[in-house]
Amino acid sequence: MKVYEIKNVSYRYPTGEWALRNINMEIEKGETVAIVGPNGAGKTTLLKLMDALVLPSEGEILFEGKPITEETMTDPEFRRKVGFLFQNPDVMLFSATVLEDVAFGPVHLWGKEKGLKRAREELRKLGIERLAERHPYNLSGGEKKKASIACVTSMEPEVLLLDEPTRDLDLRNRNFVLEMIRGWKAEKKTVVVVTHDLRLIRLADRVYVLKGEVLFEGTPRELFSRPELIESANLDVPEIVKLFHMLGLKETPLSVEEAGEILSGLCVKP
Amino acid sequence: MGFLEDTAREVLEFTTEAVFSERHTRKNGLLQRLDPRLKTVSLVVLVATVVSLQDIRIVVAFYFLALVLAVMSKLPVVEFTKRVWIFIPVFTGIIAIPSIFMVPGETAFKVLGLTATWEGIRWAVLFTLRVATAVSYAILFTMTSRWNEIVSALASFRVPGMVITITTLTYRYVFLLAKLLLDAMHSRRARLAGELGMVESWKEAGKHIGATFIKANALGEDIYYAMLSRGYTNEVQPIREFRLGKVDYAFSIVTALVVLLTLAFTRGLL
Ligand SMILES: Nc1ncnc2c1ncn2[C@@H]1O[C@H](COP(=O)(O)OP(=O)(O)OP(=O)(O)O)[C@@H](O)[C@H]1O
Ligand SMILES: [Mg+2]
Repeated sequence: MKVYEIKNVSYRYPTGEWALRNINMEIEKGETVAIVGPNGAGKTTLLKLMDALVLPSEGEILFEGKPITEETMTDPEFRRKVGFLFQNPDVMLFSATVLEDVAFGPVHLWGKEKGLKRAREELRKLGIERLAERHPYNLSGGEKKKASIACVTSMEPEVLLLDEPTRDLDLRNRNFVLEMIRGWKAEKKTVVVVTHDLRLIRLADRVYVLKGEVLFEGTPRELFSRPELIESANLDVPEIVKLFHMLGLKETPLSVEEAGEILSGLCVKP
Repeated sequence: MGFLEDTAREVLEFTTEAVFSERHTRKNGLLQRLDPRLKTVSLVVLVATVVSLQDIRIVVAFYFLALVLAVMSKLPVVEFTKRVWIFIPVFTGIIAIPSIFMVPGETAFKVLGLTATWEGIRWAVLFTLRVATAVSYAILFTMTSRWNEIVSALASFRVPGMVITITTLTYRYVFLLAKLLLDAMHSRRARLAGELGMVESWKEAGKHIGATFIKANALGEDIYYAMLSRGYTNEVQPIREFRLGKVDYAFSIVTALVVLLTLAFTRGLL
């Protein structure tokens, strides 16, 4: 089943600037899709469109086969199904305590009692119960990120829209986010992730390169075997890919382990 | 300069932390237990009474009443007093001091060719005390009320949802702005190697504040989107049921008595 069908969508900001032109995309249920592109490519704008926070200037977006309209914006069912993790956790954390922030969505959906219970469960799941009564004002960057993740996952979404979830995090917290996305993938949740992080891209079933329009659509491996695309997306080429290109090898390994396997395969052959 | 900046930062840190962390609102004190609607009405009545007072002795009595309420609400009296008087010098400087010389009456002393009058001094003291007392009640209210409850109280007074949304957004926006400003101040301190001259350092500060406002403006929009995305619909979710209890009745009776007796006394009816 298709979760999203984006048909000829263009979006112009009230300032008159066209952020997106003629976008076509389809996203299947249970898929993990990465969206990459340089700064100002319209990635965040696209996620806002997918979360029905703004409506397309032209074209239409179908969610589970039904067009997204003005009504979708305040439809509790849609809000529960789709979770949006903002790039900056500061815009999501405002209440007096982390617990109240995490409960904000659930309380709107299910009322106070169930909402608070859900929020507590989610904090436990993420291993940040100790932050429950803390004020978001004094959290560290990583703690804020986790708290904002809990804000989204406490609503038990089936579709996750993630805007640069690993940016500004240290290695340990990046790994944490990565593991979480792996978990969602295993649970067959639909994940759309905007990122520059190579390890996240590798996790995706498909990648879109965006720069006002869709420049490329394919698997991560296909993307990394095309240096000109990588450049247009302003991505770092993984060192190991560079090495393989330098050596004139046709394969494109996505990790050091994979490269090791390919190379040892080459060495074993006489 | 260093002193001015440090003071500004301290005040900002202190107020934002205190206001936004709602630390004192979770204590089990008298005002914390009051129904928020009743508390709002009582506050308005008390402040209106204080502002109309002409007799310094009665103003002093009301000031001590505020201190008693602070103690009964388990607020740290020193912190409470500090917070009240931090605002007073500004008012005093602007209005009270000139009036010492402007109100006609019997000469008290002469300075720089200006004549201070006993009447003027009396008026300045009365004014300052009245401001301090009114501010005390306002601060009592903010230190013991949770934002959620204030919003629910507004909703129960049939304030339209749109107004409440705007108020909430403003609250969040100010929160974010204060945070950005503090971050900017901290990072500036960290980067500042040598001491800058007065003019340069103010120029620097101006630049920072400008950049902060631009950043906050961009985030302001996202604050609303982040609320919408989590199911907010311009309607206030009643966080707690309002029910008047014994404390509420007792408090309203005492407040009403105090105010009525004061009015009767000052109007010469007693
Ligand atoms: N609120 C806004 N008002 C006007 N123009 C905007 C607004 N937000 C973004 N834009 C413009 O739309 C274009 C796309 O912005 P968008 O934030 O979607 O890019 P992005 O791909 O997410 O970039 P980044 O990698 O920096 O996050 C940019 O040119 C930007 O200047
Ligand atoms: Mg972006």
